[in-house]
Amino acid sequence: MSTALALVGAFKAYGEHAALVDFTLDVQPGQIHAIVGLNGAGKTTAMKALVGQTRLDQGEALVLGSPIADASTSSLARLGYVVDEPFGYPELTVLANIAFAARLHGLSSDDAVAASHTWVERLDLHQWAHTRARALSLGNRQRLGFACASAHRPSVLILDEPTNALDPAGVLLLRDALVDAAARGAGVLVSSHHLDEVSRIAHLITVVHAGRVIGTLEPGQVDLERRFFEAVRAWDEDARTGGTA
Amino acid sequence: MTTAIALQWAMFSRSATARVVTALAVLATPLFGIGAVALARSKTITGASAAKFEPFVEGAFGDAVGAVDGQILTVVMMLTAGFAVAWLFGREFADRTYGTLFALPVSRTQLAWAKVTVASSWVVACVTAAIALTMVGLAITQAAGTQGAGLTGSLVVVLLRVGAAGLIMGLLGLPFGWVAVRFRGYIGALGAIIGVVAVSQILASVGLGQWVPYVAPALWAGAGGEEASSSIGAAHLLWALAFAALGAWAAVRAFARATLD
Repeated sequence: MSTALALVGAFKAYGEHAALVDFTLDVQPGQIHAIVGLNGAGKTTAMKALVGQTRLDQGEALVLGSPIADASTSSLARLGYVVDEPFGYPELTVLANIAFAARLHGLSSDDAVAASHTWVERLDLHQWAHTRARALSLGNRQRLGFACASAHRPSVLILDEPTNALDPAGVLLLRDALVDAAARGAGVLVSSHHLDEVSRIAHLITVVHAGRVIGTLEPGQVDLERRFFEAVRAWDEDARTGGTA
Repeated sequence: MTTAIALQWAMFSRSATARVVTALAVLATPLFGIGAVALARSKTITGASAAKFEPFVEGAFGDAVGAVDGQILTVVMMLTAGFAVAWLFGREFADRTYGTLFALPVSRTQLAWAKVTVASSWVVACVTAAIALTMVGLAITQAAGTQGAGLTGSLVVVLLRVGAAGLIMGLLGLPFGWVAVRFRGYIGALGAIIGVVAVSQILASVGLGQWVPYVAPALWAGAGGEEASSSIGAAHLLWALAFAALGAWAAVRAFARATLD
């Protein structure tokens, strides 16, 4: 089974600002790989590179073994993501948005409709099933975005801060869905600020800082936040004294 | 491609933009065309406005409607189709959801051609409806006792020409999709539409309209009088159509290649 996702030696600069520097990570099938970091650390840029939204200056972004720019239609049909804004047209209902997202990923019209009903139930959106997306709250819009990324049962999921607008109930629903996706063999890359949350579900936690991968954290431990800041401060200190940067 | 067209049609047909531009495109020509001629012949207009309505008083009622419809439909189709295309091509940029269209099995090129297909189909449907409603309106006007409002063979030919000119002007809305992509939203395209209307008016007024894509179909439809209409040949109209096709291709290419960096 090929690696689900990989960034290899990725470098990306916006003018003088280096957003990614020799950034390397991978996600294996069945694995939930969390990346954690402060704002501007490079998490979103890395994810944008993986879905082709950002072109790398150097390095490779691989999805199911192929560079994203050359990925086949069948490979793209196995990818789902929410990076920055979620999929969803304000004029369409919740059900229609999910069904269209599934069709865009290759599901037949009938299967897409069935999947839309399944995910409306699964993410507790049934009350708003026939509501246009423009009328949804931010949290429900985030649930809708996740449903649109997941309705075609992707083999690879990329989620950027998927819980930042969710209520506790939504966080639980999404967490269960991620665990289920990994259990059926999907590779999941997820970024989050909520260290305790990723600690509960991630198999691997990578710390990202200043556009670089600066270390990993052991999931399931209670002092994750302290160890995260220790890693960041150690890197900053090293950079100040000229050891890393 | 079926999915791409279904998506574009679903979102366009449910939008407020579609409702407004469709109402304008379908109703403006029959209502204002028949209304302007009826008003001109009611002898209730006096002062400066009377001179404006003077041309609508001469000849048979239906012929006058055919002449004024050429002016109305061509302008209305260019404006409404321009707005529709600007919305279709600019909405993902305005909503900041363009990034969700990357890495899909249905490519952005297919999605963009679907936008062109929906817009073009909408133009055909609106022009057909506008001309059909004009014919129905004339028939009702005739039945209500207005002399000369009935459909004659020559009037049908005039209305078909007006419809063809409206169709070309509507398709000339497609190039504004390119502007919408380049300016990342509707606003730039709306500015371009206003600019093209203004420049076209100036070029037409100084007699340089024949080879201007946004002027030639309107002149052909009678917006500049009979002499100007007869000066427009097939080459001028084919050039206008070619410009629309070129603009559609440019819009698709720009949409498919836009980046977020």
